[in-house]
Amino acid sequence: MSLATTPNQFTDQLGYLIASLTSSYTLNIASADTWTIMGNGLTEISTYNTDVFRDKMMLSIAGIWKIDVSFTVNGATNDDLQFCLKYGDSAYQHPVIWNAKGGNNWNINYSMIIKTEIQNETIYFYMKNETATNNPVFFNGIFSAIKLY
Amino acid sequence: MGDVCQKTISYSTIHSDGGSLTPSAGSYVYFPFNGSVGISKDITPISGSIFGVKVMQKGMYYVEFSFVAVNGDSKTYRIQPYVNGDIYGGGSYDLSVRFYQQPTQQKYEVSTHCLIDLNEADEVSWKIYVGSLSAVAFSTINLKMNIINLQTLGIH
Repeated sequence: MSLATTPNQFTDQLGYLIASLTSSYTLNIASADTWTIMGNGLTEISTYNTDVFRDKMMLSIAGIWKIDVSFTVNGATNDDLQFCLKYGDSAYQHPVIWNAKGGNNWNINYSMIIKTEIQNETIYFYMKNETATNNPVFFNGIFSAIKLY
Repeated sequence: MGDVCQKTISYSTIHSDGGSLTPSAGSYVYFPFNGSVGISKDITPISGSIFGVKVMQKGMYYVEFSFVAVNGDSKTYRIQPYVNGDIYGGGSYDLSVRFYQQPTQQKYEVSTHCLIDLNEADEVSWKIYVGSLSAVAFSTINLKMNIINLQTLGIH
């Protein structure tokens, strides 16, 4: 079915965002154990008080947001990989870590609740290959944000 | 203490023990299990051996879906959300995730999520796809779906 087109009933205090990967996306790892920004590939599906760019989410209003990412990664065979988000001048936020056993398709999920202090805060996503410089491939990805407060 | 939620809010968690699931090579199929309600408000399980829910209110919903995949060795599987039996978004976007079942009697916790814009009486479910069948039967354990209507009129 197509997306529902009738007006939603959110109040101004809330917001949401959903995006997906436009297509599979290879992350070029220049050096091991170094965070690499996921610099391309997001496609907007639906937003409210948010925006989506190729390389980031933007949260239009400050507050408490829940960020979720469900994705598939392959490649970087048998390397240990990490994924996380970063916003503003925050630290890298509590990465999820896995082993790319066999270079097969691995379903990975990542979730954080963050507090943004400014309007139009930008959220970037990062990956790290702990072990080597083999490039992982994002095969599918669902990126969302919902405003909790 | 009384219910402080507005009547515009709905939510539910449903679950199933799961069991054997025979994919159809090259086609998406439902998870053929009835959902049992854990806790629910204005959302009900779909009847007729389809693991999913039916909502009673319009709104943008946050939905989580998870299960443990068992066996079905050496194949990559895909899951993606459906609304009223059709791919959500009409296939304009890739809302699937994939997972590979290692040939090691693997039990793999598979999970995904989505924000889904629903109208009254819409039914939400996930389907599973595999390109060709494994020689080892595929099955599932402990399916779960959590769904929350994000509308919160009147409480902020």
